[in-house]
Amino acid sequence: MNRHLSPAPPRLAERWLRRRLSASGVGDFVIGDLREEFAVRRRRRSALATRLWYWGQALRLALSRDARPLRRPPLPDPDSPRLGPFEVISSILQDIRYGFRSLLKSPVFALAAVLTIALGIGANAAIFSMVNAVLLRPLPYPEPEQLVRVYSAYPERDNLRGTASANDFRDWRDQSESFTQMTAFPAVSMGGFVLSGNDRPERMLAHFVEEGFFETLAVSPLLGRPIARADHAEGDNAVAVLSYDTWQARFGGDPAIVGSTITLSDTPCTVIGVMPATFDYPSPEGELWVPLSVIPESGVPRKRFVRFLHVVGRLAPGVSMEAAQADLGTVAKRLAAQYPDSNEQLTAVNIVPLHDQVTGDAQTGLLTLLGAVGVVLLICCANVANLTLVRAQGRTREFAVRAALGAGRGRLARQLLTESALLAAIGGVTGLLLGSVAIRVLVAAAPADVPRLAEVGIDPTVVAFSLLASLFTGLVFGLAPAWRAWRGDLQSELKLAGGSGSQTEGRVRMRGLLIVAEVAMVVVLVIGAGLLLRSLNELLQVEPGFTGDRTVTMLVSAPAYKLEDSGDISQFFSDILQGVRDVPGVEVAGLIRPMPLTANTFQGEDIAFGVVGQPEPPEGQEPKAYLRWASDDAFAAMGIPLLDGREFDERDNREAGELRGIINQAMADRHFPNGDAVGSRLTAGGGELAIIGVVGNVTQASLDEEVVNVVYTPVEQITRSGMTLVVRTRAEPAGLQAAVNDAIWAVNPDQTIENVVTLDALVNASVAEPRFSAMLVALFAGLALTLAAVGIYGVVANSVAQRNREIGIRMALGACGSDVARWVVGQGMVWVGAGIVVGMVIAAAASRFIASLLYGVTATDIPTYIGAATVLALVALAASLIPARRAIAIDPVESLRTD
Amino acid sequence: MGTATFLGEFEHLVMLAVMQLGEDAHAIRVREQIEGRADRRVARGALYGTLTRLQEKGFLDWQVEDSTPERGGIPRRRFQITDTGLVALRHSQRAIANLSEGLEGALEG
Repeated sequence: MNRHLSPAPPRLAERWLRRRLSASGVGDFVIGDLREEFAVRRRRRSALATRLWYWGQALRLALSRDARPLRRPPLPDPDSPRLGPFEVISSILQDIRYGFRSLLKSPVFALAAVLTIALGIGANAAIFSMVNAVLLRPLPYPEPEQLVRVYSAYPERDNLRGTASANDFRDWRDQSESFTQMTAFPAVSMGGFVLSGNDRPERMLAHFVEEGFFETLAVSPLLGRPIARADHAEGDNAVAVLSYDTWQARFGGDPAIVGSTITLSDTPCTVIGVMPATFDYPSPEGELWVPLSVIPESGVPRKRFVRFLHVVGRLAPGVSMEAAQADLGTVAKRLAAQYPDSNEQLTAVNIVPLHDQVTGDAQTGLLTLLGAVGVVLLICCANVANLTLVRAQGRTREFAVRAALGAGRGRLARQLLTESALLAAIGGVTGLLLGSVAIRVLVAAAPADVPRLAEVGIDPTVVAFSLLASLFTGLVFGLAPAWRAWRGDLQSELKLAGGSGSQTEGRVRMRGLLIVAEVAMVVVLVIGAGLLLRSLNELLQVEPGFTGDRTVTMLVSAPAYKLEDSGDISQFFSDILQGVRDVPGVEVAGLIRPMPLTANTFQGEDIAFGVVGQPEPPEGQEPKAYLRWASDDAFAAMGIPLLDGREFDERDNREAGELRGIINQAMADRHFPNGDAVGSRLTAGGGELAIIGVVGNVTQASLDEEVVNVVYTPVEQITRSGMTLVVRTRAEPAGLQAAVNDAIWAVNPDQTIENVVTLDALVNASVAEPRFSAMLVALFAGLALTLAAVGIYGVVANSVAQRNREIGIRMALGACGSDVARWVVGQGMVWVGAGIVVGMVIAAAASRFIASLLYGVTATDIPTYIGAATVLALVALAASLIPARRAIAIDPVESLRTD
Repeated sequence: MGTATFLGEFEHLVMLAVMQLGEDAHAIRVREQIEGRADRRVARGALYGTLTRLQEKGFLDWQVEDSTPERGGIPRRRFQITDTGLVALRHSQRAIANLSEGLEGALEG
């Protein structure tokens, strides 16, 4: 019988064993050892006995608990320094697979966590994309850091942002050595042209630019060539460069347009180039660029005191802004000495990065929003960390078993971190999708004067930011449970996991601290939102000083290249006024400059003045007033009340024999406290001005500024080319706009009519930015409150579920429902209270950051703080009452029996 | 790290056996060594499980050696103690030595 048996081990047993041990990767060695021992045994024992022995060994190896490491994949310990990169990657992949499976096992948890993270990441991606486009992304020109704005500075008058005259610009450019290129363009709109040749004439707004405009910005045309130096020579060889949109919309994108001649305001003009779609400097409204030289001397006198230009320069490589400022400052001092009549006070220049000038005031508001949304993300982290801790509690047994099977604690911690990272990654991608939707909403809702809004979108920087934020989120909320796994006493956890006895102290403390942190952050946000909303409310209470019913305003710039002298310009405006007043339905119309609450306020000028008959103030300490222009009926059209004297009328022209003016109430109160302003005379700029009236105060640049002295002069006496036409109508103004336009075009068919807006809309637009910030922060605060409510509810509810038995005992020992409810609510509210106190302290410490955004309310406004604390306390109370009700309903007998 | 570097009792025995055997530290010899010198039955599953665990902890390392005819072409593993393993072994040895101090009379009786 023995002869039938081969000396080799039983094949079936070996094959079975090999399959059982295949996962470990060392099964073959074990089988080899068994063969070796089998051979030794076979020499001493019978074949059957040896085979039986073999089957016994195989069964033990395949089934025994001790041999389990042989039957599972190897678990390389991450603590071991000898792990190759391949093992690390494969064990991470293993973690990820395991993580996916375990997340799928608790879909509610996974969904809640992913949604919370997605909300946080989405909001952050949206706000960050704005910050990125507006503040971070460099200007879309080559070597953008070399581009600077150059301002005339009047150090003695604290004016560091003055415009430049054409003469000063040329001297700056020719005498300084710090710039490779310098260019200039008018600070105010100079109007445009009529394009004829099509069915009907079309008006095109032009940018008039000095030499070197395209070279300074270093942007080449898409087609054709830029405006060359020769094109700037005055003459009749008119050239134009089209914007991409104009080329597409008006010329059908036909490349043959380059080199062809178009007729602009009856003048033939050669199209020499088309700019790329991305190029829209200095403003997106312009449809073409033409040499500034087409505006004749009669349109804008090239005199040193006519400062109408913005200057942009490109610094030479290696030249710092300070060096350039010193260099140009020397030139400015030389010019001041050379031309004392016009340049005496203009002894310096001020150079700022073009980027800063473009982004301007948007910075503080955007950074505040970014801060708020960052806090929301932290709150999301706290909430998900809480969720993860609750879940980890339910998984204690799983981890204890894995530890018993040889998984190191580092390995377990890594598993938890991997799951968190997985959640964060899924949440992050979802968030990015949410964010791309939110960006569109944001851009649509953002105030129009936020610069570079068109550039806002998802780009690699935003994606990278969102991924980093997700990673950060995963680490933050994954750390708490991973830390517990790392440090935790798994043996005792395992013992506890059997029943739903009492929570370990550490876990209670950790979750409590999370609630403190979460509540503190929500308090900060709610206080911030409260302050911004109160400030907005205060702003909305401010009376602008004019009434906006049925009133439309529009900027009308006299065609400087057409009109011969200032007499022409004043005739032009009086013709327009006459024409518009004849339009049926127009109640009253007037001209004013600059229009309050618009970006054109720099059109005003500061003057130092004295009062005839009052003691002269010491040199250099003369009071100042802001000079404005108004036509007859301007105050009536604006709804600015006349308080004393009279309005301007047809008598106040060049034949009047004296300069006349109307002052505002603030100036009258300050300088004519006896009410004798009308009839008094002011001295200013070497001349005198007779005060004929006093009108109400009007806010100037924005609603939150302090009211300054204002002197209005009649447009008929001092002429300016850009005026705002104010038309009050009997019915809604929208229906009359076409007729008003026709009346203007009857005077000048080429006339561009810009910034058509009702007075009401103007007031609204002036609070658009604070409203936008306040609404967004309030939205974030609401989101944060909701998250906090969910978080607190989760913690208290879980605590009730864990302490079921304890509550049962209390009730069995005679505690009544209200005692239990008080106890449950009290548990949560202790943490909440601590969070509120911490949050208020943080808010007070951080208040100076938003102080500059507030109007009429201080950053430490006590009622706001108390209000925020109350709101939070109420929300927290509501969130813990639901589990408290559940606690009351616990049946002591039932809860004790379930143990 | 603290407690993690201590070896379990059986792990301790396996480590000592591997060290004793030196060049000859194959799984079968390790088992014989423990059974022979420590006078204790060693279950095959426990031995292989422990070898795997010690290797995963980084205390043991193995190299593949040529097969013998009895093994039918299957190579065998020779185990050796790693530096980390040596540290852990010393740690455990010292703990036993420290705790045994002064008890020699009683323990050797």
